[in-house]
Amino acid sequence: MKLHISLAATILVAVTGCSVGSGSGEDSSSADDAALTNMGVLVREPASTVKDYQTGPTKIRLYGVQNGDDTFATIADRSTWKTMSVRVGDTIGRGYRVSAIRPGSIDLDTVKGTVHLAVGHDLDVKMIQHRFDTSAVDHGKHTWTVTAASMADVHTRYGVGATAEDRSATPPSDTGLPPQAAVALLTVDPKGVLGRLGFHDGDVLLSMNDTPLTAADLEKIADRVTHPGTVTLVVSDQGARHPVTITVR
Amino acid sequence: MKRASAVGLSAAIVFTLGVTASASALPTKQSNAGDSISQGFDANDHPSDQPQESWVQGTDSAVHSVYSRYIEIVPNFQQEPESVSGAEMIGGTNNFAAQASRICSQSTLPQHVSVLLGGNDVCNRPKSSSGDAAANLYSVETWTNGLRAGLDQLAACLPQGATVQVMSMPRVDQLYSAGHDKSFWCPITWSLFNICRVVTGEGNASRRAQIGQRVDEYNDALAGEVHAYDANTNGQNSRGIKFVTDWQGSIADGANNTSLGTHLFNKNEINIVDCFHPNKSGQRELACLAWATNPDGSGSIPACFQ
Repeated sequence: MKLHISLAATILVAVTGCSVGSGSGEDSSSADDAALTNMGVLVREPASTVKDYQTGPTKIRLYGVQNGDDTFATIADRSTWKTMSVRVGDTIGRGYRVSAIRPGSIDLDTVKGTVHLAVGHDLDVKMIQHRFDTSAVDHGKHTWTVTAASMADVHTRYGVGATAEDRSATPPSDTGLPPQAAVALLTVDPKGVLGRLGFHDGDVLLSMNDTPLTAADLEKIADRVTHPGTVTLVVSDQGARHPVTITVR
Repeated sequence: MKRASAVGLSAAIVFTLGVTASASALPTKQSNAGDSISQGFDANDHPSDQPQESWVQGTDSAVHSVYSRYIEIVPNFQQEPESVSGAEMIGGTNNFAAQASRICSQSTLPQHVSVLLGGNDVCNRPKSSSGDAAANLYSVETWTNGLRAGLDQLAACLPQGATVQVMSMPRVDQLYSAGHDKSFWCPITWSLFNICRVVTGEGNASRRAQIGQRVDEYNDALAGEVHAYDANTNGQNSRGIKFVTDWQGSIADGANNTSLGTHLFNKNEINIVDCFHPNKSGQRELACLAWATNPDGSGSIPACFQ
């Protein structure tokens, strides 16, 4: 009975360097600065102008809060029912920043002040998104569309934004299983290419367009989603392997 | 025991009504909201969705799914599943509310909807470093509001006379035990593929039980909501959609093997690839349980788990 498991050396994929400002309007003209404030943009993308942003109305609902090691609140966008777990300092779109999480409610800072949202209640919001935020759109059922040009800009500014390691093991012969291999994501920067594609720490990748992946291939994924076409990644969600189909336009 | 008797009486009434009701009372189409369990993932030891082996939508006679059982009594019975591997009750873009929205958008609405979600809500959360192993899991309040977001939509869109059957979620600590008993390969594959590390990476049995207790709390909340919708005590079901669940109480309440949430999975009921999803035997048991607790169905819950 042969058994082998190896955890290959971690391959670090560096976030490409560029200065990332966090101030308001440091890369904008004064006219843009005023327009962005008027639009309600609280969290600005450096080197961007008004035309890089879009807004739309929606409702968000606060499902609840959890106070553990990790205090977070769970919010649903009622237009799609997509949920997000947010912590103090996180942003919802570009117009709202979570400033407090309490039992039963959260506070959201905006350019006009602070709004309060109670658990189980809805809030009408103006969702403001930078074109980077919509460079990859999750349509559900593991289908995505990606805007090649915006994703290329994300790649240039933030890089792949992930680290990974190769993992492999040979199952015992009585299982009848072939050798198993996977790429485990160790860290994912939500601003980078893989973060934009919805990946998180701990996610497991298996193949791209039927070709097995290694940890050294993260750049290949990033490069592939910046050119028009279709990309199929096979991932493992808690052991359940399924394809993620990405249409790049 | 008293509770079991009440359930038995209800089942008898339902059965009697089922015999006397016209055939038109039976659904002609089903849909479902669910995750990889409902996709039959890996049930035949092939690591991909195997919907033909699913407890709810399967066509394999060895599983004898809910769909197969309806086909036997309703000619031309249709189905349009919405389950997605990896889905949570709460998180992401394939959660219960999103799947319920897709069900409500179907061109022909189903009269029977099955719901089984929750495992990924637990497994996708990070391990806690505090004294409470469940500290990083969604609060019961969050869980309940996510469930309501889906049930609200189904109550509003399904045709009158429709049934929504919400199955309890399995205790992941029980799945851990089954895998641990199955093969020394199982802990390796759990580590290799990061499978439910909140429990498979937890070496302390009492801490794994804390996670299981949170699952019990989720299931208690689920049953409370199902009863509130069914009786319309929350005012969200004025059209009289029927809501049912299999949950009858926790293992701590002495309700072992009376529901999916209290089923003590053994090593012969989970697959060998990831050691965490039901194999065909497990899927068959689940189909049997779902049918036994379906107002249109029949059967004995204890017999399902023999």
